[in-house]
Amino acid sequence: MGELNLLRREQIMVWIVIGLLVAMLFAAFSGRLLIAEKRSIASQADNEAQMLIASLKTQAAGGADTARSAGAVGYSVLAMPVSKAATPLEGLAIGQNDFLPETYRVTARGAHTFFGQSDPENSLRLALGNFDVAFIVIWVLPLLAIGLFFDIVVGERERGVLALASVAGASVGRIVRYKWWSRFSVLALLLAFALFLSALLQQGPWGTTTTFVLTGWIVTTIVYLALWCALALYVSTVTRSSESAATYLAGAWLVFVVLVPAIGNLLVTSVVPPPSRVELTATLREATEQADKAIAAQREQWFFDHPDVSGDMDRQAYYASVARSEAEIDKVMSPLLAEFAQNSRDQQRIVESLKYLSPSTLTFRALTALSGSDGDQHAAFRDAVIAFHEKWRRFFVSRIETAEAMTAEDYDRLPVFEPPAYETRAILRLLIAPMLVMLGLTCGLCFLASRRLRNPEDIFALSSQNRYS
Amino acid sequence: MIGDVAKKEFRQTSRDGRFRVAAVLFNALTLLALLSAAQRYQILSAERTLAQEVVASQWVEQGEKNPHSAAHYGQYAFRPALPLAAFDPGVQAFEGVSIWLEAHKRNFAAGRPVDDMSPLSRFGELSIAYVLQVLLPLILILIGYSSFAAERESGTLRQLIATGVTGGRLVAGKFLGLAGSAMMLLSPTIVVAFALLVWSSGAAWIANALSLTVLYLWYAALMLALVLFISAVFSTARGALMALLVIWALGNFVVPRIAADVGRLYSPTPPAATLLRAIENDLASGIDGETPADRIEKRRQQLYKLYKVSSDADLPINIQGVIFSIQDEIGDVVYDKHFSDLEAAIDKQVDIFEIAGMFSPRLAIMLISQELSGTSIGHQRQFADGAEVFRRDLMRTLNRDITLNSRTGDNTYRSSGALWKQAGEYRFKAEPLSSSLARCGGPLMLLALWTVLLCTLLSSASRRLVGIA
Repeated sequence: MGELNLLRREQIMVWIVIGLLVAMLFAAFSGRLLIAEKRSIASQADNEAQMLIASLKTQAAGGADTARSAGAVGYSVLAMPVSKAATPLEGLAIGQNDFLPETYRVTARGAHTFFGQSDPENSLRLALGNFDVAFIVIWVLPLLAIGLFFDIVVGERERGVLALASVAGASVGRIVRYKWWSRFSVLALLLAFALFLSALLQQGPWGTTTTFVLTGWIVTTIVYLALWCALALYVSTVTRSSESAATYLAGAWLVFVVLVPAIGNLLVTSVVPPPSRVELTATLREATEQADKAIAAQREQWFFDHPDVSGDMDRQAYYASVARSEAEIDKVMSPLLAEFAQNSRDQQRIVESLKYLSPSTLTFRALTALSGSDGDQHAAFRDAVIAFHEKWRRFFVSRIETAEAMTAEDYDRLPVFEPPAYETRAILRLLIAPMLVMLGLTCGLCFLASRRLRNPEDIFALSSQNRYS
Repeated sequence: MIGDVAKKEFRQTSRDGRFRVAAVLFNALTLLALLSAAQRYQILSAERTLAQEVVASQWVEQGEKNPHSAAHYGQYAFRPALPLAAFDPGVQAFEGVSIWLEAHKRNFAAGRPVDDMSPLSRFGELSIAYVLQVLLPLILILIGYSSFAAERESGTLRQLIATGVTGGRLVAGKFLGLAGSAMMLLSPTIVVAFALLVWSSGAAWIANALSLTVLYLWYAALMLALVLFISAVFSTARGALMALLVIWALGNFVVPRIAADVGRLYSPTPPAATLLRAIENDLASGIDGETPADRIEKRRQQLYKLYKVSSDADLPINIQGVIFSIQDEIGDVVYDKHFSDLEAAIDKQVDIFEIAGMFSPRLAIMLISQELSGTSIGHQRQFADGAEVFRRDLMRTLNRDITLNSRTGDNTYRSSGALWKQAGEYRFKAEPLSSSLARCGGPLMLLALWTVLLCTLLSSASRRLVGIA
């Protein structure tokens, strides 16, 4: 209680409580709006598609040409929106959700026509990143921990408190342990409360998965906090002055939170550079031209985008030629698109190894996995879209090839997209190793600090050396 | 006297082990960032130049075609990699690199490099600009936080004042001494960067590079002034260090992200589906209260009157070419309106960044640096607008050919190489430095305000030094 009263009197705690709560709630609110907008777009697109399907079904029953033409519907009229499934508390960690598409509009044309599409955005905003709760946890929380713990030993020594306590026969280790636990407990409780409030601000019904995600968030965040508090404690026991402790800890923050991830990113991009999008574009153009030339004779009278302007035409023959053209283009483009998907998986594999270089990358990985905004879940979504696209394409192309007209019943048999499920067990498995590593490091640092504290003379001896050396 | 203080400060800093370690780390990082970026620039530059050549040759060698088929085949504009992107990649990773220039449509730039980046890219890209904007101030903090505060604590400040040195001279001397150390730190980076620039692109970008050098020296001077001011007003070195670290973290990481989120909430950009739907609606309803069909009919009647005929078939020109032109006229107006609205929404977000520059000079520096490096939103617009101007010219040429050289209903009309050559190829021209600087008014004003503010604060602190020594 004495330690808490001291902190309260210094007004540090009051400012930390207010600052952290306001920042967390703003971040949670902002994340909620971003995700709500994405969900609303997905939902609106889905509603529109369902209405269009219902209308086409009615038209097909009435014998309308366009609704009965598999080619017209598959290639021109119907683009089926498929969206990444909503995950609980995804507004807390935006991860890659702000720039990777969450909705694709699948047609019977090749996958290259919808992969690579993105919403128009302010690129400067994307470059700066989001002020989400994950950012506060990963970037700001260590700074709070440093601010509260950097002088926990060295500061007391400088003020003569430890020497006085030692002379009075009190255990220096016990005093420091008490101070550490008091400060850590307050910060941890505050954090858990702020996370709970942030979770309440998010959209969607509260289910067991939400509870799992929130628990995961709280545990991960507290373990991360404990690691930084333990590091600050250890540094505070081995440095000669408060300034040195603050300098070393600021350096550690810079290295672990800024440099290691940035260098890691550079390394990933250098080791597995992504295939060239420019080459993809040039190849697509060449493939399109070759395919068009190959079937030019069949389409002599028609323009692809204006079949109507050429007067009489055989719609079935036209779409059969489009199907052949698309198949040729797809043959060229599929391996290239597969290269991009493979590259993404390779990058993810390296990131998985590199994440152990910094507690920040470990925590980022854990929090984005919990919130469903990590690379794995985007890759799974993309794979599911590819599988769905193949079914969708086959559905229309088989009818074009057999000259089979679409019936009203066919609209009930349209393939349905199944987004990959949020696997709590898989996420849990993913979290265990990082948590154990961070806990192990925390225990190790606390152990080293305790050993130093068992011999207070070593700590007092530091003060006799030149503080600016 | 100023010279003596400066020499002493310079000598003391240069001998400081922390400065030496920081200098080695800083130069190692900038070298790593510089070399990897220079290598990436070479690859990207070669790839995009080649792609532009390939596309240009595909266009010229597309063979005999109806000009409108050629219009749909279109051309591609590739954004070239500019040499200073190796220094400051700006927003390039978040903007598409190619635009398909086709009939009737203004397409967005596609193929954003960020789509293929690892999840670690959310931590930021390690570039020299990033190192200079973020790490240089930290190093200046570490070498300068104790300038006055430590001297005050140890009593040497009182002794110095007693020798008759004025506060102003003391501040000037310390500023010059630390600035000398900072120059020693920066010199290797500046020399290597200029050497690489001249080696890779000759003298074309030297003016921009020199402007960047002046900009970053100005930024370093501002940061140094801030460090000295804080050191002068805080009674302890520990307090000064903590305050500076908090200001550094807030200014570099927290304020930019908050500005980004506030910008998004204040002026959201429409999702692609909404934007495209609005464009489609406007294209269907026409402009100036006149539907496309009405506009076409009106023009048709004008042509009938001009040529004194009563049917399309009697016209000496191809009415279809005129119809394509009318569709493009409408499309141009509609696309201009929606693209302007989108750009206005993004500009409002950028205004928020500029306002936030009042709290974080890094934001102001970042905006100017991107403009001078050719990697800003403004440069992306210059590329996209240039491509659009070319697209419109291209379409006008092709539509005129159909109109004047064929008759209505003539589906066999073909043009060949001569027309494709006459239509030309897209070539990007980088804007002059003056145009880039013209967009820097706001951020430059902010830097000037920061300069005035810090000079005033430092001057007032120097006057108070005598009293509080």
